[in-house]
Amino acid sequence: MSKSYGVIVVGGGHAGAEAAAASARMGVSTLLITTSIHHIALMPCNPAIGGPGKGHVVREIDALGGLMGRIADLSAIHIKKVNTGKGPAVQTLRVQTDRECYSHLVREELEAMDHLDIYQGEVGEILFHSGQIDGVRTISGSTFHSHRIVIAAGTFLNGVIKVGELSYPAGRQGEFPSVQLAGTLREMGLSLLRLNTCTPPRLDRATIDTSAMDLQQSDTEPLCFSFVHSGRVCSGSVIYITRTTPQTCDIIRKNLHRSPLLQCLSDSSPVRECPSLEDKVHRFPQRENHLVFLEPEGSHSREVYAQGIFTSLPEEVQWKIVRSIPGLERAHIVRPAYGIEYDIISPTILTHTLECRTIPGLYFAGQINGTSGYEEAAGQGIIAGINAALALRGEPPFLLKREESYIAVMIDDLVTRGVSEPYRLRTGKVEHRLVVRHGNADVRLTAKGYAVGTVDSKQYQDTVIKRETIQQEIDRLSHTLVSPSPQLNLLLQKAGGEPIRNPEFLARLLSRPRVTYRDLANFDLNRPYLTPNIIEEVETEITYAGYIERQRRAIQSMSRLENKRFPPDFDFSSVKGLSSEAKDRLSEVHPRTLGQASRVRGVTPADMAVLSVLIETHNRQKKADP
Amino acid sequence: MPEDDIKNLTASEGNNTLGDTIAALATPPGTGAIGIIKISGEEAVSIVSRLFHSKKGRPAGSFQNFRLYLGTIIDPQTQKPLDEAMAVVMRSPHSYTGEDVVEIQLHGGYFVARRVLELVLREGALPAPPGEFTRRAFLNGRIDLTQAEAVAEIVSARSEKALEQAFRTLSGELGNQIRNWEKTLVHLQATIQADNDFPDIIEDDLETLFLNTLSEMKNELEKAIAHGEKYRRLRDGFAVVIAGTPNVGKSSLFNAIIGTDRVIVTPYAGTTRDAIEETLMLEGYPVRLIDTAGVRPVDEPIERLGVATTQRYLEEADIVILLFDATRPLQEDDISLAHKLSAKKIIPVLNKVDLPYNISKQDISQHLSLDPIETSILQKQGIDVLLQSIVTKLQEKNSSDGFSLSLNERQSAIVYRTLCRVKDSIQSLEEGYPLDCASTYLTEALSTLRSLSGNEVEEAVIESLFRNFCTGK
Repeated sequence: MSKSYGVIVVGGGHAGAEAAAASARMGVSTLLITTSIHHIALMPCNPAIGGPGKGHVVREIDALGGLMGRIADLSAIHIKKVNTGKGPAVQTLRVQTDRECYSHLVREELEAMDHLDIYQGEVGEILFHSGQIDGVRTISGSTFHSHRIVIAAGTFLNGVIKVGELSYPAGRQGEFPSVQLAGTLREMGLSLLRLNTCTPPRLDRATIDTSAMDLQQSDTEPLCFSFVHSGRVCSGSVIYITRTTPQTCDIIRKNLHRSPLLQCLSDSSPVRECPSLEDKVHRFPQRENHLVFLEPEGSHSREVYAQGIFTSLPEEVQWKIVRSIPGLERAHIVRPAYGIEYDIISPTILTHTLECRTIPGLYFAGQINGTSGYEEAAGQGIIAGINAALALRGEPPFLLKREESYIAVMIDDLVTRGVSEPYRLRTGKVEHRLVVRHGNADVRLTAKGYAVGTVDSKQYQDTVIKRETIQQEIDRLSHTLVSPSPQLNLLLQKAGGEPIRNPEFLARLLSRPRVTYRDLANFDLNRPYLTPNIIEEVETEITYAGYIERQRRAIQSMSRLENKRFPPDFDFSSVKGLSSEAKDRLSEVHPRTLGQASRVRGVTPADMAVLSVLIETHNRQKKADP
Repeated sequence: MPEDDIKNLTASEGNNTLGDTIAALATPPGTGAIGIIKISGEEAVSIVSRLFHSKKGRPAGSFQNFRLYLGTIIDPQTQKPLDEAMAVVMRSPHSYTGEDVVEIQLHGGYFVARRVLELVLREGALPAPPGEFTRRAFLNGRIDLTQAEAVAEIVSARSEKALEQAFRTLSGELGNQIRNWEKTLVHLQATIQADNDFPDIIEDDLETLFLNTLSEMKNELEKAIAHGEKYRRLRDGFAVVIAGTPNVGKSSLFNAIIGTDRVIVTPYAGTTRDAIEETLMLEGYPVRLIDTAGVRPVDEPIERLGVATTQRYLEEADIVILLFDATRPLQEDDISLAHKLSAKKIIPVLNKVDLPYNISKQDISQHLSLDPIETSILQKQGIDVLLQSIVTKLQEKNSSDGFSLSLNERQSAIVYRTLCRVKDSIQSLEEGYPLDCASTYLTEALSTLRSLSGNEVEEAVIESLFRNFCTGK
């Protein structure tokens, strides 16, 4: 028997789960194939979600009707605002989740979804029928038909776990790798690259002496990721902080040659964004200690994640490392650390919909595209899922712009600049981050999600109301005068500003960077009741209006380039006047627009001048001679 | 946040967009008495309105299309008038490039035009790369498709030139300086990113670090700009002005000097209303030799402007050849002129010594404490001595000024723009905005500097982040 689906998603990690959920929510019959149904949306590394850049993505996924924000809230055991006081662009949330709870809740939600089937099996082959994608065959021989396939295989392609001298094939700890699928992709003409990463050991909480450690409590104000939730306060779980010692560094230095993943020893490309502890020790020899965060894995487990001790050193060395750290002298390792090497596809072969340029109907999402992190994977998953479903329905693709989303920045970076190490989203990669805040993700994206069918009408209506409320409050503050008074002037002077002599609009006072909305409460008696989220947005839009306007202008000027499109079959290699490096890179990446071309490595302003004339020539020829 | 800086935004947004306002001299050197500056882009009109003051007091924004307006170019910083000029505004899309275009016609010839162009650049335009006006005209549909190939040719020829130019820029001391600024900005960007994206790793007081680093950089940028001004002066030629009362023989001396074998006359000519100018090379020094009108108070308005110009020439001159007529007694004007000028600048010359004396060398040194060279221009006597003394003065001047760091127009425009963004960033911090906001200006400064060095900034920042900060997951 062989069933047919609109979309088949291969892989049940964070990318696969979001892709399948998005496609099913859009009403498309969807099949999710996973090698282990117990491991859907597993967190094989940090039991945490969010943080700078990543938290922004979680909010965006939520604004598009995805899973991650809601499930993170429901499984949170510790929530913190990060980067408070560093400006509105970089502020976001980070939660510690109960690992098992997260995975369980995602599985429950997927199982309950209409239009979605789940199947446990390992895909080995991709089927074609008269040159078109036609489905998959599992290694056990079952076939499923579909013209749209999303591959979200994580680190499973030719995965090899490495711990010291030991090395064995595995997709994750305790799971088989996908060897056959890697071969299939290669046969289809895709070039595969090899990346590596590693995870730290888990310790038994009962064997840790926390008495001398610093600790991070969960915030006391109610917080949540999801725009459909209201905030809550977590209590009970604590993150403890300790540091490695010079002795730790000595142990590592003595055993450097035994690390299979140390950059200077292995052939794989440098890992800068997520380095192992041995890399840190090797590259920063003058540094006496490195922070170690002891993060709880969940309420139902005594395991503690030793964030900071990322290593692929042999297990016997891991014991020595752990026990050289204050408070861990008697710690018991429950699960040792390990490194993993795996195949990825080169993401420059993808378009912005995450569809493979050379194999229509085949989409890729998540770690297989060279990214690192659950949030990055989930963000790609939802975009691939939406686009696979849209393509099936013959509708135009779902494309987000760099200036409206972190997810878009990530995808544009991947398909335009490629990867040479696991790609990690950071706020620093988002050039217009003041307009792409975690607080306005719903205002930015929810209407778009509603238009394609991933967001329900309640969430959409709530966002419309939120947007209107923000605007009304900004208008009210812009038109409400306040008279000078000794109390007000004292407040203004305390905030390092000038006192006022004449009545002034509240918005003008709030636009001073050190004056907050709350400060002005006593001078603004007709204030409506507003939620903290809305207040945050009103405050940001007013205080940073000048900066936000500046970025909007920059975006406008950039968009002129983004609107100039290359014809689909444009041959970059034959363009006269381009540097040879630019020719090579452009031919590889095949940018869609002039704006994207400007971000391709090695393309200079002079190359851009040449390309602009070519596009114009082409467009006018087309107009004259359609 | 500085109120006025949004206007400069499009210009600073990188050099690969159509958004920049560009400017260039439209008349090649030496082709006539009138210099034309062409400015194209969104900011063209507002830039000109800050420099050009129409006779009737109309702002450039209200000029009618294609209509010539008479006015004066005034340096907005010093409030000094530079030249009388005509301006014409051609608004988008009815212009050559299809953008807003302003043309300024100057009477002052090549050098005055260069000075005015510098002001235009300082006010926010970028020097137009070769072929840029044509490229824009084409992109905006003002050039026929049949000429597309020709346009493509012009534009692709630019790649090579751009490379060459970047190479030249980056060798030598200037290159080092630019690289250092770039490095500083890259490091600050990396620091802010490290602090934003890896919240636990930095414990230092970053605001103080930023303020100190930025004010140091601000000083360096200002110094470089000042150096650049001196340098351009050297490149444009030292101003050697011939002055003296009417009929003392100024024009004869002018002609005599350019007629000698020792000087090479270059093709950059310009005739001003009241001063004749010639550029020449004298023993390797570029010299602008300027013959002024008689310095005498007059009433007619046109001549009054001429006299004012002469005064300015005298003030700005590197050397003044002050001519005295040996056949006439010292005049009041002679004395007041000599007193007005710094003695260091003056080369006194007693002319017509072949004719019956009325005053002597001694009279001049007695009355004015000057030791004049005796010449008879008519008989070609003493001219060599005069030239030698000019060379000596130039040598002194050159060694005392020391132009180690020198910027051309384009570099200067970019360095100036970098300076503005650095100042904005400092101001933003002082007003109490967080580092992340203040650093948006640094991003702009960096992409501005990048157009000089051609380096890829994004990679450099990431590189610096992970080299300098021990980050982790």
